[in-house]
Amino acid sequence: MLNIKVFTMKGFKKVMLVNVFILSVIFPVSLLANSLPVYKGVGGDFQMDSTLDKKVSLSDFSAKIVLLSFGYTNCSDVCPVTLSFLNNALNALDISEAEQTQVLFVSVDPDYDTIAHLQKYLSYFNDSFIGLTGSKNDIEKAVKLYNIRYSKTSEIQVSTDYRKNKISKDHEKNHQMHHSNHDTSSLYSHSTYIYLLDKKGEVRGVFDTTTAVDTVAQSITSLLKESEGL
Amino acid sequence: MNTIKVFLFMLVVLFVTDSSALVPDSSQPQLQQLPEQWAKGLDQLQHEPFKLQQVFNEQLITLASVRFSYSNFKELNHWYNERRTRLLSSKHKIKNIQQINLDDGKTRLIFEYVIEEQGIDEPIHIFRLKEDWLIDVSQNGQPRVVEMTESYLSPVINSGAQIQC
Repeated sequence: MLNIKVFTMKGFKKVMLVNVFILSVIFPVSLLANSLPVYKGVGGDFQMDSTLDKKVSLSDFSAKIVLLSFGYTNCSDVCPVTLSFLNNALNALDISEAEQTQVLFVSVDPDYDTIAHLQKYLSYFNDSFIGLTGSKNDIEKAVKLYNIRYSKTSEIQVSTDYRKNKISKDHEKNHQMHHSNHDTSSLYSHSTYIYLLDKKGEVRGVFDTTTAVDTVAQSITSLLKESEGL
Repeated sequence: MNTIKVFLFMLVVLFVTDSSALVPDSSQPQLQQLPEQWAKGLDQLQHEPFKLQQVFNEQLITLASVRFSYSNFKELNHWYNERRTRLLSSKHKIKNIQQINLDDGKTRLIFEYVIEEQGIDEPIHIFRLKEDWLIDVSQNGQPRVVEMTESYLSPVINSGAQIQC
């Protein structure tokens, strides 16, 4: 420590600043010590067809914070709850933060979930949500990267009449109907992880619908500030 | 006669199922402490790369003499080369150690190994790993790790912006 006699507040402040500088040199502490952790061993880039009507890679969204989840449109409970949860998380942000956040929903049922159908389904929750799907290989690659387990519960197909009707009732006036060619669909069980990715594509949070919405919103805010160097 | 047959049968069953008899009792505490000692060695930052074996031996000098025999540790070498010099801190947790005694003086240790490390100008990195070690205890009861298999575990649901290691 410097041995400087302090007679005034100005002098005292100078001493404190010098001491802080010395301590920061002797004991370097990362400014990111209080940031969200990086979870290793999970994550990675993948490419799929999207509701933007083009093929996209996850890395194409590197300008935004991403909330990534997996499911399918014929899912009766978990997926609608998850998508509503994600909508609530976005609504908990201020406008500029929400604009810098992207929800991506990967369908594991490419047989039923066409791009057009995904588009209509997701617009029911939030127009900004983007749906992704692809070939079985594309999906397998993505689920493996993100430790998502999914499987058909059985080979029995269930009617999608109710869902078709529900969507048509809400959108029949202004939207052209886009449905899968099939009137039945499979049921899947799948992991319910919601991944929070930073602008480098690294996993910084793993949530589900039991997580408090505010926690997710605060995590997004934290990552946005980190990316701005704040 | 029937009673004797039943008794003999029970003895055989006990001998076959009690495979821990094939791993010396004196090795049991050493085996259970191996993961913790190894992880403590890896936490130390002052040792240079490629001296992992030496570090580990130093940690275990009071317990057992352990030598690694492995052929594919690219990730570990990469970690040493790329990250070690940038680390500010490293700590760990060892959880859920399971010991499976095999025949011919070998045993398996399966456990969860969670590493939390902080690098310069980086947020904390968390690694959740499943370790599966094959250990030979046939040489004078001293454990010798002959094979290490490591894989990532599924993530844990994080209910908040807190590190759950």
